[in-house]
Amino acid sequence: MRRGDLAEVIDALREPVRAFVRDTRVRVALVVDASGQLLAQQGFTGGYEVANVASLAAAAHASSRALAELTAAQRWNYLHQVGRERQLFLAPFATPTEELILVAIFDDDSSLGLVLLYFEDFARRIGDLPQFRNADRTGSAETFESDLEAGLRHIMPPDWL
Amino acid sequence: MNDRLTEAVEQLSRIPGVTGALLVDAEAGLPVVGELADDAAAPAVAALAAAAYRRTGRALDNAKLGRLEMFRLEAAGGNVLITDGGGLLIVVIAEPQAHHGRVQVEALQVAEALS
Amino acid sequence: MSDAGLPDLQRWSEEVARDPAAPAFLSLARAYRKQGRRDAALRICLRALEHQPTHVEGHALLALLYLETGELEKASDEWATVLRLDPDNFDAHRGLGFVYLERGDYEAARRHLESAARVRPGDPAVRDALALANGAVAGVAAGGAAVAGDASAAGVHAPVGDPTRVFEEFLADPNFVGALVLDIRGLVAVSTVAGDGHGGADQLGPVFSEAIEEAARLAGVLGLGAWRGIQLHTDAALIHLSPLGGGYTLVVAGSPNAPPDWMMRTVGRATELGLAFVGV
Repeated sequence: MRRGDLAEVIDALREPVRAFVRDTRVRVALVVDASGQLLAQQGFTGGYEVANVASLAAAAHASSRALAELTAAQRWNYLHQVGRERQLFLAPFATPTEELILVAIFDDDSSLGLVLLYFEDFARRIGDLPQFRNADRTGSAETFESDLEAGLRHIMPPDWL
Repeated sequence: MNDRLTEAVEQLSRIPGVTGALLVDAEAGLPVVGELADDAAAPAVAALAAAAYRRTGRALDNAKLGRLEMFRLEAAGGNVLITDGGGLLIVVIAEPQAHHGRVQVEALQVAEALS
Repeated sequence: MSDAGLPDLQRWSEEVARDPAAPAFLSLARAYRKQGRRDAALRICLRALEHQPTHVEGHALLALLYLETGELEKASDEWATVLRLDPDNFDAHRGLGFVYLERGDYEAARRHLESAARVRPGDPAVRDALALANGAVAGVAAGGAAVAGDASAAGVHAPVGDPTRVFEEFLADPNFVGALVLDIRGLVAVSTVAGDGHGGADQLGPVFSEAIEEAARLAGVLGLGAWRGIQLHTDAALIHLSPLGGGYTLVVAGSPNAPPDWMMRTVGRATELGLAFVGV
């Protein structure tokens, strides 16, 4: 993604992600693109290496998609992991220009049912954003690293990086 | 499908004025078996009923007001009763004129049978 | 407005293609919005407004489109533009009223909703929202606790009297556990609790606010309309919540072994006392 429109995308995602966290009461919600670039975050992320989570989410998405294709399952819908105190929800969703990934971490305040309930509407809202309807949105290898850092810097307080 | 669970839903659906009955996985907030006027709404009802019951129950417990056994919502267009049995939530939706005493008694019977 | 047929859409499209500011842009954008093609509707509005920046309805439609995509700031900006062009515009005042309510800026919400109500006195959404805003302002003016106050300064009814004595008459009832009135923010405005209480009545506001919030969501998804009552049965108490009006909520708690009609009788009497106190 070009840095030129990255700030616009991050800005546009803020409200839908905030609404998703409010409605589902998940602890953390991240939106990541297929290359592992963090586009949005909301919630208490202090305990997590967010950049690592974003990269791993993209990797999980890539391998799950490959697995789905290998097994003729066509596409995978979501990944749900249940821990002792926290649960993880990871799901891809398509926009007109690219595929994105939602990562949600939640505890007893939420549930898989609640996350699934609001996920569909969330994905539709993102897909309808004007920022995801422009053609030619992919960046280049040269701009990737600077776009990644720009994305993180835009989201996080300056003294965190 | 589990006959015992299906029978439980049918028992509740037969009560006059009841427009829907649903058994919900309490932790996941997902529907297990049910009959609703609009079956497409089952996932939403399951998720929100589970959220209402669990969050309210936890808040009451933290405030030392006891363990939640039943949550009943009265609204202009009908009533919703939620109780729990054996890891499942029993959700009954009824018209305003339904006999809520009978709904309550039968829902609690089902809860006990499932526990 | 009836659904646009294909010939209409085609005609409007051709007109707008020739001239982005053609009057047909509004009909075309509305038709696209109705079809769920919000992005197309947005583009048409934005291009038309570049040529006609004082088009009131164009800005109003743009506000709705932004609202639908969750872009509240942009929606607010568009409504503000509408009001600069048309200071008595009902839609803009109503829209801003709801936005400010959501943000918790109740004074601003009230100003806009009152303006909307002056234009259309019978609008039920504005009426209900204004009741919420007035109740919130009253709660803030009274400091979140019921004290005798200058109602004229707040411009609304402020609770009067001792908030700990409102439900005093129930203390002699062995089935009575407690009664509260919560304000629109979920704060305890009135409380009477039997015995040693439950960790302080003030702690109970958030407990019941959660129940109300979840109940409202559930009622919404089932299409049951506004909630009228919530009953919670625990192994330690029977609790009833009901809206008092003006954004206030009444909570009555009794023994789980109370007679079947005890709660209804007590809630009825508590409602009278609560309403008299908050002055709704």
